[in-house]
Amino acid sequence: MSSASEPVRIDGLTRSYGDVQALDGVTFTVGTDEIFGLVGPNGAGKTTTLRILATLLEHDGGTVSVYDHDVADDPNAVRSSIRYLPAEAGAYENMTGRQYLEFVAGFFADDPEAYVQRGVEIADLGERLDDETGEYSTGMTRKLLVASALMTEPRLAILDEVTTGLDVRNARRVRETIKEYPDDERGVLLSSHDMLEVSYLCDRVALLNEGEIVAVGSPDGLCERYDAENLEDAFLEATR
Amino acid sequence: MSAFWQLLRKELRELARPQYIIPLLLMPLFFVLVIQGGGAAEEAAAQKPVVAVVDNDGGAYAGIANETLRQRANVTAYETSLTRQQSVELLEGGPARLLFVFPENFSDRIGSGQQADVRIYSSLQQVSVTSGTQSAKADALLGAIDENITTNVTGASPAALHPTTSSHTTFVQGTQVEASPGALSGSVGQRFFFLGFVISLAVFGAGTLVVNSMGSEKENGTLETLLTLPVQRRTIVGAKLGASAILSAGLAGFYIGVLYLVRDSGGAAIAQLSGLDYALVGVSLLLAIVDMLALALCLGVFANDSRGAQSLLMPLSFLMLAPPMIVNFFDVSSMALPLQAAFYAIPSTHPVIAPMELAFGGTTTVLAGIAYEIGFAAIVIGLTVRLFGSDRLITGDAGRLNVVFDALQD
Repeated sequence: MSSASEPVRIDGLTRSYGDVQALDGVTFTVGTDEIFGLVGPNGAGKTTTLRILATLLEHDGGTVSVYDHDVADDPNAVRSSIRYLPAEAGAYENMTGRQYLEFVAGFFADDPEAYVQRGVEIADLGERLDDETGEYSTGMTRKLLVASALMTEPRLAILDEVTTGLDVRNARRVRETIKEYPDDERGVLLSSHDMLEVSYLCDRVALLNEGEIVAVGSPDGLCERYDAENLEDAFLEATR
Repeated sequence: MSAFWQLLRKELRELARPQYIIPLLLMPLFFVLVIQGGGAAEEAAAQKPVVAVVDNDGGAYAGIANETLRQRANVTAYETSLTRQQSVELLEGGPARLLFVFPENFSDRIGSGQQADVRIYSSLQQVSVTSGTQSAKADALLGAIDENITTNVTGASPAALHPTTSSHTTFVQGTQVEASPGALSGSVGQRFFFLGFVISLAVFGAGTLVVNSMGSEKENGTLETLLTLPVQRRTIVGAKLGASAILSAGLAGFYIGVLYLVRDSGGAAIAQLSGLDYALVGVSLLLAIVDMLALALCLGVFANDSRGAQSLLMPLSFLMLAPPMIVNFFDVSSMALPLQAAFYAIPSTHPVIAPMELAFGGTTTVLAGIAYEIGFAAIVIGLTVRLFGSDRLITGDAGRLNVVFDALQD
């Protein structure tokens, strides 16, 4: 895997909020054909890392690049390669689900119909797709947003707590969609509290605690390294 | 469709929602009520007063007074020899709003060279600022009675009673107007005060729209998605400003249209301005709206949600609504220099003063105001683009102003 093809390269990333050091020397890469997970407790720095990658937040130190485009120097090139799904995202309430998909897809193609069709399939909202999103349940909105994030086939999908608000059946369906997403030209970076979900989805995982990465490896490899039965135990052991 | 047009369409769809637009459309109703109320009061003031007369004197001078009242007023009741209680009942039971009571010795006192008392009773449905017109009517009738009695007693002609007449000429910024300052003040105030208020309201409405847009983006969790789309941040700013400006311009046109229609039905034009003058006022108004939009968008960056955005806008709203009040109640030229500077620094000042300035030949002042508004817009839009390019939109960090913004939103 050459560096030129890497969806994410982060080296020595630091970020503080006033006196609080949110990230302290975070370093990892995400490859193509890979789902990479950031795991950690609340306040560990997961969302800050994802927001810096998504060009929403500036960083204090280190380098962050997406497909060799520096997020600080070339944010528009980065935005062309990614789709970011925040944990607490919403849709425009006075648009129908279909109109929302058309709105997002319109930024990625002159003729976005193919993207919209793919979005319709992923969202799987049936006739409700033509209702205004203000009338959607939390789960329906989340399905629409997942669809809007993946329909344009971004080279890097950044997903924060992707199955939050979804019931068991829909969460499983979304996981399957994500699992099938990576290929030779694209990768996925996600964060989650759900260790089972991370174990199932991710090829590699970074354990993040108090702004520092304490371990990186495959879920099985981390369990083996910390002599743990599951990723949750491995995390507790690594941060003890 | 380009990214800008996509975003512009989205913003228009967001802002044109009934919950944002209807309150702004209803605002002119307040002015309609005030103006129509004023028109009704003017009509009432122009009509002959309805009076009742109780003549307990029966003498010659009471006769002259009664004759004067019949000429100058609509006398609906004439009685003689009534007690005070009966007189009051006459007023309360009839259509008259004024009752003139001439006492028994009225003519005797005047005949012997003494002043005679006329008792005047008024009936009001309610006390308001227009109640003064009733006493003014009574005073005018009393003045006419005095004049007729004096003419009769002394044999003096009207010219002898009023040997002088006057005509006023006033110079406003070098422009000659054939009216007294008092009459001019009344006329100008009537013409421009509401226009100024409507202009300020349109600017205020623009701020409300854009701040609602920002507040709802944050509240609904759509802002982060929007900012990670492959679009330049200045395009997002441009679309937000553009959509708000389009709706605000429509709103301003609607306000002025409503005001014009109401004024027209009252028989008075808004102002005797040329088409070019109106165009200059329009340009000044549009620029003030853009200034307000950019300022409000800056503030919206630091808003936590819709409610927070409205709270942040409130001080700015007071500032924007101040110019018509200042123009109407103060002489700006006599204010201290720092206050004058502050007055002219408010962008909405310029469209508010523009109609009056143009009416009195102050075109240069209006053009200078427009130049100031353009400069103001350039600086604030530049600042807005910088803010949108930073991560303050996400963190809400206002640096040293955090304390102020947090206090306003708590």
